[in-house]
Amino acid sequence: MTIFGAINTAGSGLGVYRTWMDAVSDNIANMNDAVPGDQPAFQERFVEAAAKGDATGVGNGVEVKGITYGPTTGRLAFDPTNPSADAQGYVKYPDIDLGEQMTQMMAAQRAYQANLATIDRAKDAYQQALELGK
Amino acid sequence: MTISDPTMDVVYKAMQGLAARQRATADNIANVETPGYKATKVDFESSLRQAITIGDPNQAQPAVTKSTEPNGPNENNVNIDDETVSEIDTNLKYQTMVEAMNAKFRLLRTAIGN
Repeated sequence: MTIFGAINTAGSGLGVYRTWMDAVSDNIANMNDAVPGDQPAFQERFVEAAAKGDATGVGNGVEVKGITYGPTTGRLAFDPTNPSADAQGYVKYPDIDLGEQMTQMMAAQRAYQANLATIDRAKDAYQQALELGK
Repeated sequence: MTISDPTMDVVYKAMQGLAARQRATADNIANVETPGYKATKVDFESSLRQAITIGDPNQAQPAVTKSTEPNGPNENNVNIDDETVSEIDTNLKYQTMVEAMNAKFRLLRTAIGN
């Protein structure tokens, strides 16, 4: 454990929730990507989080374990006038639900804020400790 | 006769315990959305109380346990309200301990003649 452990631990949380927000905003930015009906659609990004450190003691925060991708199936739409339409007139959109993405965005944002508040309070305590003997 | 007395040892041990609890709380908040994560709890008070009873505060050892609270939807049992309250509470206690330690230091300084 490093000297300023609580700050590093909360900092790891900031990193993970920032990555989550990045993934969600990428999903939202690409939710209307149209590709020809016979090609793979944009894949939704999922961030996998895992606790860092051993299971018995006080842990060391959280980390991004990996990114998983959603299905390439998407949903087909008949739109022959679309420049991306295939020979049959179909385009494919990613199967991303905006409501779900916004909910995830809010969860990530709140968790990010909670970790920021932790850093702030830990900083207060450490600053107090530096006052020892003064 | 030594410079540090049992009171200072107790205060020091309490600060160590509070710092451990603060790290545990930070860890719990960092993992507030991690699937399957169980909240970590630190209890140093009971061990410290016991150590004071037998007269050697330095034997106190903080106990780290996993919370057995009911799980949320993703098998995670971190309660963000509890953690926030614990964070503020721990912080204030820590400041109190710093103040107590400083009071002892001031006494010593007076004794030294400064």
